[in-house]
Amino acid sequence: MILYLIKKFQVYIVGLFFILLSALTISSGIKGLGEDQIVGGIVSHVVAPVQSTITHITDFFGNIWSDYIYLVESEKENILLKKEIDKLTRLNNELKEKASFGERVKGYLDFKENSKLKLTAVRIVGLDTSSLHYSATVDKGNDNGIKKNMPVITPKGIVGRVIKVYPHSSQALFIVDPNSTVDALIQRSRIRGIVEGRGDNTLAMKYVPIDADVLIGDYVMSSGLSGVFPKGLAIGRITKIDNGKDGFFKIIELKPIVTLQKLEELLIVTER
Amino acid sequence: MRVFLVYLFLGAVFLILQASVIAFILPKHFQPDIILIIVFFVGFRFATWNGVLIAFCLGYLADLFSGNVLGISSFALIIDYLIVYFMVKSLYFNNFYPQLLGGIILELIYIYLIFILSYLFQERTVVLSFSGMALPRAIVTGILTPFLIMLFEHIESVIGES
Repeated sequence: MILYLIKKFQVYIVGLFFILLSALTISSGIKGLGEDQIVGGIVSHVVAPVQSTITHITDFFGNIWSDYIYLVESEKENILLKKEIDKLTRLNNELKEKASFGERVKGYLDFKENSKLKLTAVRIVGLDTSSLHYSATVDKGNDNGIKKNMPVITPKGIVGRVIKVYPHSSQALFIVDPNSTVDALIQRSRIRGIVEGRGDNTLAMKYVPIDADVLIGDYVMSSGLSGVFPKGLAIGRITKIDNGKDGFFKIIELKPIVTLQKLEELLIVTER
Repeated sequence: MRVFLVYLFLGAVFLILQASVIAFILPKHFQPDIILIIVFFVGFRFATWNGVLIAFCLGYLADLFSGNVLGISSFALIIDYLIVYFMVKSLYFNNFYPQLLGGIILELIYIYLIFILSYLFQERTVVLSFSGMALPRAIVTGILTPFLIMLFEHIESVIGES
């Protein structure tokens, strides 16, 4: 009888067992590519090079698409003209891509030269897939001097911090992720607070007193007090201010200074 | 065991694609959850305890990829799998529209379970917009579901023959 019941409900029993196992894992608070050294390490070793290769292949086919496929109609009209257009378009695209890359690199180099920080440039090779979390895999790791908790920035401002390092890759947690916090201050009035990610591409600044001098449009910078981020790096701009229900603190919404969706290269602060 | 290995491998491949190609091409609210489609397919096609194991492992992999707290995606995927397992006895999932609708509903359940678990366990101000994030993602996943199921059935027949 018992065996019959076990057999009949075996999927639910196994399901319940694994749900409990998942709940136990969740309550232990171990983060993916965060503290799970063995499995995370294996996955990173296998996945990071594959992601990197796929990114390169995507870029390659993306160029083929923009260079050739769009010109099929022109080819029908005039082969010679098409060849000319093809060549010019390809050159143009290459130049645009080089110009865009050059501009970005120049910005990064200028920033690097003028900054007192020691920086390492990295390239994003993979992005987080979930709907609520924001992180990216970058192409440099332990072998390039990257360490856990190093700040990740662009010349515009803070992007996030390194949460996991492997020999040839690292995982960067963006500031808009709900797990991210930065000790910050409002640039104009020097009022301090804690900036947290909200999981929807915006940020929230907490613990700002209700009578504090805060205006929409104010810039928020890192205070340098958390020990992770150097002082004076831009975080975001205030877009909304509400009085909290508790009567003590304001609820402040920020737009990140860095457009995270458009990032391709990043800088990691390896030394201050 | 063969089913387990095949779909675990497929899940890993699609996760890599999702984290690289798809993540770069599509904005976050239009990215489909392909592993959910795999779990859905395994749920109505095989309906065995192996499916629970697949859901658990794929969820664990998804959390590893995304840097989430481990177990959140596994939890949500197993719930989705058990729903499919329960429903498959009374619903017919072998047509386009049930698959599309199934994909949408399961994705909504998946997103909201992750949202609730993240809210409960991470104690942070997590914001999830229904019209801005959950619904578009669910619709994209739903639309992709019948086509991917077609692909999985093809793979299944090829493997079966060999």
